[in-house]
Amino acid sequence: MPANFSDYSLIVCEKPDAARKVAEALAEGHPVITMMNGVEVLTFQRENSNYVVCSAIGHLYGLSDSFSQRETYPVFDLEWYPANLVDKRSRGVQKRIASIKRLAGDARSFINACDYDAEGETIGDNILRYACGGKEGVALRAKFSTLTKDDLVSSFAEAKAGSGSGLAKAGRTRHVLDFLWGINLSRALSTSVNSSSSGYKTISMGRVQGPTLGFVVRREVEIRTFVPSPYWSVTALFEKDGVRFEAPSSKGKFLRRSDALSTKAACEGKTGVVSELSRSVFKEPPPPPFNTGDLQKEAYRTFGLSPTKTLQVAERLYLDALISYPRTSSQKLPPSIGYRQIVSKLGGITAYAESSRELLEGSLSAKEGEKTDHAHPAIYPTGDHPRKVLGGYEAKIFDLVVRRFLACFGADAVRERISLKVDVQGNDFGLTGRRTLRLGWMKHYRKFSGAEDRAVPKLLKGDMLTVVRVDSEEKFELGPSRYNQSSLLERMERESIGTKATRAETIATLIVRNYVGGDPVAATDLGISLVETMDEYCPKIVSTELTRETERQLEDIEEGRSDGSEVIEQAITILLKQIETLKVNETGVGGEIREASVESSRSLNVIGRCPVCKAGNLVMIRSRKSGKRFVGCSNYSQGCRASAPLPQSGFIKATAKPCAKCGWPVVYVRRGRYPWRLCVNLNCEGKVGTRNAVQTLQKRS
Amino acid sequence: MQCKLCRREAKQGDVLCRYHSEAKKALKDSYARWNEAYSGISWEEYLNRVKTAEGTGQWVKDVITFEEGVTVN
Repeated sequence: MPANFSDYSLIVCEKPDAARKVAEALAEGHPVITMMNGVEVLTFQRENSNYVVCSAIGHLYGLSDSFSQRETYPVFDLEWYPANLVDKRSRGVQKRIASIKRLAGDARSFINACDYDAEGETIGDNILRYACGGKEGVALRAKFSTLTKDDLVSSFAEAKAGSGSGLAKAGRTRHVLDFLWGINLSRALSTSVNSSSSGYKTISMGRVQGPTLGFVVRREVEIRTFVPSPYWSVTALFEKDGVRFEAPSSKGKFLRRSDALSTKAACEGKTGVVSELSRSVFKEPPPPPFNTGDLQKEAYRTFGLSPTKTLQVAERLYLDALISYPRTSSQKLPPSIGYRQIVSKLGGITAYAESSRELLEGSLSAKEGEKTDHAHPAIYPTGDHPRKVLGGYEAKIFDLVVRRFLACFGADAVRERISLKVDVQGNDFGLTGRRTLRLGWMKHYRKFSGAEDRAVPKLLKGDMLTVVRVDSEEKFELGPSRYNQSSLLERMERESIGTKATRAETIATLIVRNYVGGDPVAATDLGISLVETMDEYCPKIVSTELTRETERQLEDIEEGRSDGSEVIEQAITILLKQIETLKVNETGVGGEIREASVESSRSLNVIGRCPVCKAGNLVMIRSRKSGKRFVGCSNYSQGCRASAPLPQSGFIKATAKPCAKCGWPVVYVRRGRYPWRLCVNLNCEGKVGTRNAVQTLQKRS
Repeated sequence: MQCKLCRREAKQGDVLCRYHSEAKKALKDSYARWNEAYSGISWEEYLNRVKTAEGTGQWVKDVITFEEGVTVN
């Protein structure tokens, strides 16, 4: 820190990038960057006052149960500790806390400038409480939704003391509840599992994790016990003046084969007449602006990007001041964000120039959705241009947010629906087409809108058509479909479990724990077994009611209508009952989950059917003797000697498709930056070229 | 007792677990629908078709493999 820099206000930010943005926005001239104990500190002057900006790197404090043994439960005595004492992976926390403590000692006032939501409030509150010596009540709160200069300057000018206390209380209570549920249930389940066998296996379960897993498992049971029913469709191929088109029977599904065949027989070789022709014009209003969930769903639909990754990318764009804060429930765009200025600034980017010009010709009124968020508006572009060329998903998400924002100001799209009915011997065949008459908002969002035109041949009522062919096809009713990450997120949202900020993380945790896998998401045997056991012994853990009720209570705390302690006491009472049941049935619970857990781990190592004996599976094995991994057949004991070497480092997982050349399984290998697919068969025909090249190189050297 | 088709505990008085029993029940219940759809179909042919039909659940397939030849009560 510069010498003689004293009598300052200490600004606490959530991330180093945000700290730099804050300092750059508020400083008269350039902020001075200094390193304190390896931690970046920024100082500047504004209106004859001194400021120091420090930052966290996410949570600097975490909850722990005084470091008791992992088998001990239940535990209800929790404390906030420096994160490095709670989680060994937290790097640099100690130095950062030490620096903040030193800076706090000389500060005359404090400003909390962490992200304005429950998580950010918790981070800031803990720093002010523990590192700054109980300043959480007196610190000013700067609330902003973008990291642009204008927004930051006005938010600091309007900063007030104590304005985020409800959020902080709700955030801290949420952490306590999650910790209590997580640690106690996980320890109870792990102890049950490990008491019935040797070795140690961690089984985790959480407050939101349980019901979410419940959704996937219940759907999985429906899918695995599904018996499809047959039905038949009848489609006729018509012709008029050389133009041919197909139309399905208006009856839809024929539930009896005989009915389908008789309709087919009755129409074949006959003539049809256009009996009905109707046109209707309808309007399609613009979609509302993005909130977190909508952005995650749209990014999954259009780019196949996981909700977790979408949020990460959006946060990066927020830290670059390109979009507003991406963790929001709101579908509202208040005029105070400055519609005209943003649209005009976006016009400076070639891709949006035309949309911007067109929108600026009229008055701007944003289409909004119903959902609100008292902390932030919907996600919108700030209008700032990227300082560097955006690549990959950053470019895609930025484009998606900008186009959705522009679309909100567009006019309704006008579309026409054309319905056609052809009568063949008393059997109706129908066709519906759509065409866009006025693009409206779709002009700005067309590449993502998904609305496609479907042409219908130009015909008039009474036109006679030749029936060229009639087909009857046997089909089967589709069963329930698996959730994908986006639809699972939507279900969580609909059931009001988790928060906009944590839902994606919960799904990711279920995948990491191997309770669910794949995309679409299927429950593993371990996941099914866990839910089955919970359903039997403590159904509350996987029910949505309890989690939803807790979310409602947390909202009350946030709004200042309730105190956190009551909610925690209630949770402890419920937890105690559940844990008691698990303890009494420890052997039964442990045995069932253990079996599934072993089965599940085993299935993770299976890479495909053995192409040699055709009865066993090829499994990834690590040699006890050499420590090397290789592929071997599960029928080794029956004499199958199929085996192959594997790369010794990097992550390997099975792929669904076998090698097109030799039929052996193909694995996905990730080592370093570029992953690749590898046929495990050493003698695969497809490797001849590579093998020859290697041999030639070896000979040369 | 262990389920004949997986490692789960069999239901009391049954050789299958609750999930495979559920699949077996669904299989039996659906026969009437299929029989009507085809204006008569033998139990063996029904099993054969269900086994290869798109969308048939894995536990139903397990039951068919295990119980092929079983007759409807």
